[in-house]
Amino acid sequence: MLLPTPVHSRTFAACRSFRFKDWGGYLAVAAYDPSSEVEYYAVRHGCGLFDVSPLRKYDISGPDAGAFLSYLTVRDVAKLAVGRVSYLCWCNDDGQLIDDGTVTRIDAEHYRLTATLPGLHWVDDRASGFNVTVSDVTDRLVALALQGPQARGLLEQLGELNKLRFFRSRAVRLAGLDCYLTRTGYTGDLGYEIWADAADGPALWDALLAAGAAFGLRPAGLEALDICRIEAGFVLNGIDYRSALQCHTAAQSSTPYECGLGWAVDLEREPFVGQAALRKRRGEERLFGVVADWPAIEALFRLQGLPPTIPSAASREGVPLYDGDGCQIGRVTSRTWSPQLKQYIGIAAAPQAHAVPGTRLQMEFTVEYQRRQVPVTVTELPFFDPPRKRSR
Amino acid sequence: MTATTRYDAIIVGGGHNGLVCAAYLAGAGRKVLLLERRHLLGGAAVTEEHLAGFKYSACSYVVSLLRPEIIHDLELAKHGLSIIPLACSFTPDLSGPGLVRWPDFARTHDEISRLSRRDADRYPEFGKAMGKMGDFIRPLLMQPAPDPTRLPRRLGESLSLLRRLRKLGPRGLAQFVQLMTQSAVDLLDRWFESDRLKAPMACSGIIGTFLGVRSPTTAYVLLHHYMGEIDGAYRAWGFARGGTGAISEAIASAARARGAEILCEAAVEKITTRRGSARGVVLEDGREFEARVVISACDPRRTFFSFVGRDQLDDDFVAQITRYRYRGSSGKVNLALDRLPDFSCRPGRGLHLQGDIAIAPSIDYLERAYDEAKHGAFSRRPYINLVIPSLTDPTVAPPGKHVMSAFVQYAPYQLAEGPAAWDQQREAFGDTVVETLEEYCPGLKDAILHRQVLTPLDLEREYGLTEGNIFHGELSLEQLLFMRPTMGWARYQTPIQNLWLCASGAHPGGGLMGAPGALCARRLLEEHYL
Amino acid sequence: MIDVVVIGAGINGLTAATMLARAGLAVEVVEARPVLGGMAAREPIADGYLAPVGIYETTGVRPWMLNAVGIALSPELPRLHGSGGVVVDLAQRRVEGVDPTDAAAFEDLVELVTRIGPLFWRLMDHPPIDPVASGWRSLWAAARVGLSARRLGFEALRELLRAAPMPLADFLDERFESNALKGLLAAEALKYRFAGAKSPTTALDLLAALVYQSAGIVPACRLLERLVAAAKHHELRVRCGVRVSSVNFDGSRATGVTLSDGMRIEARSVLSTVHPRQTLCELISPRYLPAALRDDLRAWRSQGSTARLDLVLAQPLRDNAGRPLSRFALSDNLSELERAYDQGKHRQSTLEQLVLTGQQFDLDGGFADRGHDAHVVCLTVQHVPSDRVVDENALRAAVRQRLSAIDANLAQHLRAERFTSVAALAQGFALDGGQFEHGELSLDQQYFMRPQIRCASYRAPLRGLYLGGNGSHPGRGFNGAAGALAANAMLADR
Ligand SMILES: Cc1cc2nc3c(=O)[nH]c(=O)nc-3n(C[C@H](O)[C@H](O)[C@H](O)COP(=O)(O)OP(=O)(O)OC[C@H]3O[C@@H](n4cnc5c(N)ncnc54)[C@H](O)[C@@H]3O)c2cc1C
Ligand SMILES: Cc1cc2nc3c(=O)[nH]c(=O)nc-3n(C[C@H](O)[C@H](O)[C@H](O)COP(=O)(O)OP(=O)(O)OC[C@H]3O[C@@H](n4cnc5c(N)ncnc54)[C@H](O)[C@@H]3O)c2cc1C
Repeated sequence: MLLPTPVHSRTFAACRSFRFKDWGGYLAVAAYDPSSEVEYYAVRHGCGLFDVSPLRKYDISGPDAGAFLSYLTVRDVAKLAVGRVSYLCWCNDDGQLIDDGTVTRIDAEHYRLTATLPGLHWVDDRASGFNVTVSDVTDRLVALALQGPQARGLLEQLGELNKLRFFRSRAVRLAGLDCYLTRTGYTGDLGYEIWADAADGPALWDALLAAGAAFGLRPAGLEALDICRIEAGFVLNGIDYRSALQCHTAAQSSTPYECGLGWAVDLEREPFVGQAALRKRRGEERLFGVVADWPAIEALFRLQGLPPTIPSAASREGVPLYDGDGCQIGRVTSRTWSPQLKQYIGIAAAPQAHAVPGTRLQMEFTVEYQRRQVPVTVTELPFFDPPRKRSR
Repeated sequence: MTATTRYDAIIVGGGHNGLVCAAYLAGAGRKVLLLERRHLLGGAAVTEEHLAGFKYSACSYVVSLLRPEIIHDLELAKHGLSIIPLACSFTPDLSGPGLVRWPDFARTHDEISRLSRRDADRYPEFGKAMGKMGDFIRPLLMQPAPDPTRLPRRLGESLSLLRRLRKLGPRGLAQFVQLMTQSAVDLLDRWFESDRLKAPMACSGIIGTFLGVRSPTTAYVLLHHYMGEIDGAYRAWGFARGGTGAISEAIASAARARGAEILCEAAVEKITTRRGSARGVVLEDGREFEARVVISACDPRRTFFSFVGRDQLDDDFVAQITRYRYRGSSGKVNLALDRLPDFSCRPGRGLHLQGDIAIAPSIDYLERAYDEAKHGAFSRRPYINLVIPSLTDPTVAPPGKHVMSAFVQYAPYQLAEGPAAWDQQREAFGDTVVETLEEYCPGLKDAILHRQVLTPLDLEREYGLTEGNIFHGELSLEQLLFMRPTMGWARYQTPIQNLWLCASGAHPGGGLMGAPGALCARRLLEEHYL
Repeated sequence: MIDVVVIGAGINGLTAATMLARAGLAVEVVEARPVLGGMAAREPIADGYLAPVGIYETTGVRPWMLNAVGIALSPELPRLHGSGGVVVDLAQRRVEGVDPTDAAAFEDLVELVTRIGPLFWRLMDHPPIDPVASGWRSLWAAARVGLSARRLGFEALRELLRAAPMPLADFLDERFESNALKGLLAAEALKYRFAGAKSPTTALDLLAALVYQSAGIVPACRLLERLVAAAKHHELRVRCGVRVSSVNFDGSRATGVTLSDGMRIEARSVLSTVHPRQTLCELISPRYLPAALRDDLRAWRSQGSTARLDLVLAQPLRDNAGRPLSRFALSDNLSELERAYDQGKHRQSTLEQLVLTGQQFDLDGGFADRGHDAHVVCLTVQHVPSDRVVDENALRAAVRQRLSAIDANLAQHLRAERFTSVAALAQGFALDGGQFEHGELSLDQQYFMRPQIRCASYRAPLRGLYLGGNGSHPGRGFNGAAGALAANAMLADR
């Protein structure tokens, strides 16, 4: 039995495909339209509106709030200036990833942390010994992500943005409603996330949609988001790695390094959870992109006498990655056809030696129950990174 | 009457363990005779009809520990066994909506969130941790208990246990020690903050024991109940279609199909011995049977003191069996209902009624129930585990009517006035249970068409459970593994040659598990005793 | 820069500090209270009379420990009086005032205790075996424990394995008829436990208590006096009346401590003898410890339930026969004891049942200034946890009432009285809950689990920080064993 989000009345009504998904216990739309392609193109050319309310949101306040977050997560959050946002992740003692998300410094002693999966207990337990209070505000807030090249124009119609820069945040009034705006997103495009009182959710949604007609706005579902985030090279908890809180064995877990989040780890500072382990595990494995040889895929279909077909949604089932000798050396955890790049792309992980751009590897590919391999080329992430994402 | 045939094995007692043992032995081509005192098979796993059309699972009411390999080996599905999983666990409340824990994550998360968001987020992790510990313990349930005191003979077994222990790592090992020695509440306190969540979870730690939720070692019992699996699917409890007796009937049918001979209304009086070796049995009606081995599917005290006789045993062994503790602490009330009960905290006929329902509003409530019992009285406000199987399995009640089974703790066998006082207190006990339930579902009283009250004394008299202990002896640490029933005799053999034990008084103990019966048979066959 | 800072000058701290000083290390001891001795220190009851606020007797004072600090002491075996004229005399290995079957059963019990003694001491006199460590050292240690266990023989081993998880009540019921004897043994065994006789695993507490007491008892003040003298002899530097407010680290190891007055003491290592959670969670920034260890420490149970009462009497307490009492344990039967536990457990305000144990000291005990002629009785009152609301005056009255059942003249002789609640003990000694032993001695908090599986070898998971209070193995008997074993660990690491 899934829970409604604050804008359930709107998303439910708008969803004509009846395709829904369970997102951390909430009912989320997978695709509003039977085909998610229009939603994807809206994000890349106009703008898309995602209901991301199921993201867990924790408010952390108190004199030690910055110190606590620096201890809890892999980044030195205390250094973050008020009004700035940072992307980060957090680990257990063994350096195994627990979750990732953004942290926003709303005020001197007030931060907001977002997380993918339920894990209040982990955050809260760590807080003992720090002068902070942790409160779960997930259900108190509505979170809408407005993503795409037209997002800025649309928002400027509704309120005064004051040229909010990439990874900055501020309180704004949009359509007469008190909102908190961050210039962040999970699509790798120009975009904003709007946080507001849950009760204002429907009004906010309506205002955005009404003004959005002129900006090519469409409500967009998780399928479109999934393709966008793979193009942007963002990993997803539960797909590209498994939270240590859900692992049975150490082998199932990952370090931030293995997930391409090594850049977020600030090792040389006061001790934080997992620091010692991360020191040792730096550089074990790497995350990278793979691009499949499309002709090889076509050939596999032809072998069966079939025209090539690729599902419109991204695939969340991991497949093995082999080297030239047929030895399994890694895995591809997310794969999709990129409508923008016209390529079949995937997010992969393997030891350093195989991660050099240009390396040729083999990815498992199944056609009509026949397991085959297709050649792939290693590339850097992200696949897609338009300058507008961070433009002033 | 003199014996006409000589059997390979005689099994005394037609409980599910006796039946499992018989089926395995017969399946291996041995000539087996099973003798049951009552008119029906199953022991504590029976379905009885006291009011026409209403089928009570008189004692045991839900199943999960039944070993999948037994279901598979004996082809029980073919013999009619069908287990329907419980929908959820419901804990009604006098104020507030109560708590329902569902198999589905999101729904449970939502329910627990109302009590505590932290607890809700942590809940799946608890199941995972228990699962991990269960994975560690489970193999012990399907092999004879390793006995570290029998070094070096059993060195291999003990070493492999040690190796597995060390593989748990420091934190895992600490968790293991805690599970074996802590109280259910200590264990749960580490994980959760909400009393209303912890109370129903702690209940699994006291079922069948004469201990409270705060008594050390109950954490292990909690795990024991977490280990339930149906056909390899973990942590699921279910009803047997047709009542619990259907399980016994399926096993009996499998045993018969394999050639075992089964006699009911055949109460054994003596196990006869010659020069320290068992040679057969004498029934109360005078019939005699002989066999190469006699296997008792009754509890140790009955086996050794009633059937064999103290004079046949050495003093030390007599002392050990005398010390083996029973102390039943549970009773059972079965109700035939005219209509479905309505819980005021969650009215209506929801799916929440199709699970098990625990009257366990707080840790303190449970502990007080225990306190009364330990001083020799039944709990005035007891812990009750309710199920309404007729909602899931309509074959057990006439259309529109229902049966309700209430497992009740604590009902101490040893009342302050002595066990015999149960005859005077039986109805008062039944009333207490009904009145407690009435608080949660007003109007229940008026819906009762028939009520069966089983006190520990009744369990002893009627079902042959010594001192009313549902597990043939307490499942306390000092009576588990290589110490069940006593150190040195935990491998189904006894000091009387050719006399074996195959029921809940042997490792791994009680519950509808079938493991003692299967393990005993396996040892007899594999080590060529038979 | 000195070698070691020892936090706490209780029996463990002084033992460890003296041992380290004798080994030639530069040691400094920091004690928050104004006097040395921790819970064994004597503080005034009334004008001219002194008694320890916490611990008044110690058991398990072992020759190797005395040697290690260079003092001499001979433990004694005083008689233990119960209700109804039952007296346990461990020196004579017998019990008086019960029928012959019980007397014989008691001799059997003492026999069992004698048999398991060597195994107990094997476990108690050595650091706990680390069950996950590998290497020949730990294997060897494990083998030696295994051998001691084998030497018990089948029957004693069976008794021990069976008794360990059992409730004390069952263990006693199997052996004895006399309620007074059972009450006495249970009261004595569970004096510092927050558990009833029907709680599983308590039988082990009796066996341990008997093994410990069979090795003799030493008044805590006497042990303390000698320890202080030994410390003086080695010119130990001691700083009293100032608290350690934090242990300092330089990223890789401990570098000393900071005191509440802001002063820093630089040292190569730090030995803390205070409550383990206090040490690891209060004195150290959370950053330095594994998060999981902090979680586990949070679950460490150290809710005290034993309060203290001291009486000054003009005339000694006497039994019915007119003999002065020495030690006593008063509980008429197990069910009374169990009810007392229930009341404590449910935080009831009633005082229907009381379980008392105590010892009477004469002037030799050093409890009064010269010139005062009086007797001091130190008492423990069980199951009055700090969150149980009982009226202090009512409690005192109930204790006097209970004692006058033994000696009707008590009221006339009473000169002064001092009550120390669990809350006061917790506050005064940073006990974090008020448990005398720095942590309930339940099965899951003993041996390699004390205080946590990762630091049971006296080494905290931070280089240079050691734990040697009662929260470390063996944590029983208030005899300095934990301190001594911790000192050994520190010396071995040098
Ligand atoms: C796994 C994953 C999940 C994500 N999930 C979300 C999400 O749920 N919601 C969301 O809004 N975004 C999400 N993002 C997007 C992410 O927050 C940024 O868009 C992305 O990290 C920017 O990195 P880049 O590689 O594109 O740019 P780069 O220029 O390579 O990296 C920018 C670097 O500067 C830092 N940075 C940028 N601006 C600031 C600033 N103002 N203050 C401090 N540091 C700054 C970044 O953190 C990073 O270290 C996710 C990213 C990843 C990898
Ligand atoms: C009220 C109650 C509720 C329970 N609930 C559950 C539950 O929900 N789930 C669960 O898993 N377990 C439950 N149990 C426990 C479980 O039922 C028992 O542990 C299990 O059934 C014991 O099986 P057994 O074969 O070992 O012994 P028994 O079933 O006791 O079999 C012994 C047999 O020997 C027979 N017998 C006795 N004397 C003689 C004689 N002289 N001659 C011949 N035969 C004799 C008896 O009649 C009986 O049939 C419950 C038990 C009770 C009493």
